[in-house]
Amino acid sequence: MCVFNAAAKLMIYPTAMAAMCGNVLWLPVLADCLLQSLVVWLVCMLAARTDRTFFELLSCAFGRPAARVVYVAFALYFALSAFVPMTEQQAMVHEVFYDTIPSLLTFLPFFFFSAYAGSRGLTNAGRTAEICLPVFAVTVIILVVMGLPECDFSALLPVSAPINSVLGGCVGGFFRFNEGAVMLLLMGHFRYKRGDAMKITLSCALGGAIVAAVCAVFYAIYSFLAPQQYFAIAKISIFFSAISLIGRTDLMAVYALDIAMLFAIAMYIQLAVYCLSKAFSVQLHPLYSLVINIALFALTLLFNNKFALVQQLGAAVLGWGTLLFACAMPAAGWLAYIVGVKHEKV
Amino acid sequence: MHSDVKGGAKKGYAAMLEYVNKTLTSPDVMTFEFKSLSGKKFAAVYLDGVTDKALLGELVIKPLRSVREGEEDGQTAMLLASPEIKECKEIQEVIDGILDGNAALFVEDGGAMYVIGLKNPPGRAVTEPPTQVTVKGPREGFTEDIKTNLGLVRKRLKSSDLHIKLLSSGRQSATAVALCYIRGVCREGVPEQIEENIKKNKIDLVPDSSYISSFITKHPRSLFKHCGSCEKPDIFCAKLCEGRAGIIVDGSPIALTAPYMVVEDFQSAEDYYITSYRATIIRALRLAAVLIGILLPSVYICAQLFKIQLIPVKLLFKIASSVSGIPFSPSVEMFLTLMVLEVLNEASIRMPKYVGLALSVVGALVLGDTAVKAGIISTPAIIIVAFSAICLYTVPDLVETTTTLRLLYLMVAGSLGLYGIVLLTAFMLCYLCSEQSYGVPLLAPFAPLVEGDLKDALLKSNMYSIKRRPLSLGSRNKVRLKSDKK
Repeated sequence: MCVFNAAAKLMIYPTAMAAMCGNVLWLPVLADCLLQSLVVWLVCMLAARTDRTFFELLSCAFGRPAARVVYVAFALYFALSAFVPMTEQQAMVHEVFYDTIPSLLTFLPFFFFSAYAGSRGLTNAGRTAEICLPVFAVTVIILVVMGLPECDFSALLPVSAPINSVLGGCVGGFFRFNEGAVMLLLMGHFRYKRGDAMKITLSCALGGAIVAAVCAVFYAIYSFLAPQQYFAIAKISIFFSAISLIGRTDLMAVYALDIAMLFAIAMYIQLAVYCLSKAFSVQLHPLYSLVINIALFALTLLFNNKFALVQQLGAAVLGWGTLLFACAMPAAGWLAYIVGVKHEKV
Repeated sequence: MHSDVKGGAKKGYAAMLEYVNKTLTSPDVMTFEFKSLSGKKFAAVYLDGVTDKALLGELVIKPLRSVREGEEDGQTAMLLASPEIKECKEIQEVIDGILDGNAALFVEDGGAMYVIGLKNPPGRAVTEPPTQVTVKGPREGFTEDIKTNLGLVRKRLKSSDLHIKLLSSGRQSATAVALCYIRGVCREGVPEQIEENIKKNKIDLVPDSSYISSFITKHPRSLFKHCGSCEKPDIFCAKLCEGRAGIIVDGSPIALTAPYMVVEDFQSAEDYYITSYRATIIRALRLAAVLIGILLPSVYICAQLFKIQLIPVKLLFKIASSVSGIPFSPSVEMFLTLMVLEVLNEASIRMPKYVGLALSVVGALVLGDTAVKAGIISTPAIIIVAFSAICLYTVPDLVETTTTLRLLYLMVAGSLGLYGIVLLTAFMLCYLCSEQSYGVPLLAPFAPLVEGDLKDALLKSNMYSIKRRPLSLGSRNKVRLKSDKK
């Protein structure tokens, strides 16, 4: 799940990073990725020590009402986390899937899928991730390989940039790296085996490395024009020499990759529904998924054609959210574990 | 009187016989009364055309007729030459036995009743099944007779662990259903669940195994199968050995297996009789063919309607010249062509063989050629539909599902375009990932990923490297190939 979660970062993120950091766009990606990998490793270490879920840890240490409040907040965070890639998906659909400009209605069936997927639970999220991982890997490799002949890697040099722009990139893209929060909620739902921490952390790092590689290839192709090229993943293979003979077959890979992107977005909704059902101590209910999707649909209507505003809000608001839920909450998990252990000893 | 007779066997020979004759009034129920040399009366009741009369004469009537005074000591069954004799206490048991095709024997002295296994219903010989033809490997196929089918299974599995449980389904038809599994190999709880599901159903008639298939499925309305099927005993036995339970239904040449995984339809019996390299290539081809078969028509119309860049320039010119002047939109044109294909397919299956040939000529030459020449449909549409149909038949067991999916994709593509195709694919994957057949995920061993089972999924490893039974099936005995090495 950590690897294929990177699919959601391949739509606008490379362009945004190119605009913020220029030729060192891959540096903030790696920095954010390393930070999240560290958090993921800490969560795995916690999972190695206890079979309990985060909810159980919180309930044990701080009481059930506190755990419920935290989980409702998590649900809200994941629902909002789904909104930014969803708007990116909407824009990508309009740009990449159609020659003409389609109406908003074309995107609306997304909510049917999303409502259905959201009600399927975490087991389904895991299985779809297993199906999507090879699709994601193969399509990204195809697209990058098709882009390589046109790459001028000297465009990435020199590997030095004002620290402010790199830091700005780190902060601006930080909200996209929330694997720590994902892992925290998955904790207790899988049987931890020896070596899992290393495997999961490396998977998270690999996901980030793939995004960094795509960013590098993207900049190597477009150089200073990169900030004007939206949806990098659909653009990097456009100059492949055989395209004139075989048609835009690279787009087939982009469409296949879009399936992984859809599931990456649906995963946030699945997690939000899971949090709500935990918070209200009920079975996984389709109604929660429906409510979240109606809310997202309303937001889509509200922010229609305000793509830039969504990006800015995402970076500003969700950045703090990510800091809280993907960095501070794992620390709270450790705290809850220590407090819980003390309670048990007493 | 009838209520008296229903009570049991000790009501007298004449009363029993009269009751049976009054209950079974159809003209094919025959009663033959005879006497032994000692003067004792017997009556044989049987179904004409179903019971083997020659065997009845040879194994039952002849030995009983030749019995002299003092030769029998009251045990009629000991005098019969038939190996399958069942003494009945209830008259209903006798009636069921007669209706099943066996012969019933009534004895005057003591009022004993027997059902003698002399069933020999009309049926065909063991032949190669038309749906699972192989170049290499066994060619025997199941028939409509359950006994023959069980014999074919026994011929291959000479194991004391092979357990066969005979059940009955259908309130009127009382169709015999055999539930087969290997003790210690089959996933725990599956045979019990299947048995419960079969018993739970109270339908009138079970003419085919497809009825049973829908009874034992958790989601009978699902577009996807939840139960495997096969027409060959070698495949059936192989599936039992992998840890599945099998169901053979009287009157049906198609046996069922459960739990089911989608990947098993991409495997054919021949894959195990040829080299693993060739088998792997063929399996990959089947998967690619099915994907092409489902998606090609819809992607073609999307390319025409929404994203023309998908088509190479030179091909685009060709298509443009052939579609110019066509009075329909690409989606309507494709839909009509597909409908013609489906109608031709349906008609060619149902038509008598000789008319079928004429139909092929009319369908392919007259309809196809003339429609193109008249400018009603374009040549690329016909090529795509024809290629799609051929592709889907590479996996015949999935044709029902894949043809429906193709139509669904076509409708979505015509209305929503490429994004519709992507969304529908994601929806299907999501649905398949959450479906299970008797506790086994339909998409196993890919989702969830079971690494050990990948050796015989789409990839086909050498037989010696597949040492374990599929882990996805949760078999109790996991070892398939025992190694001599200590």
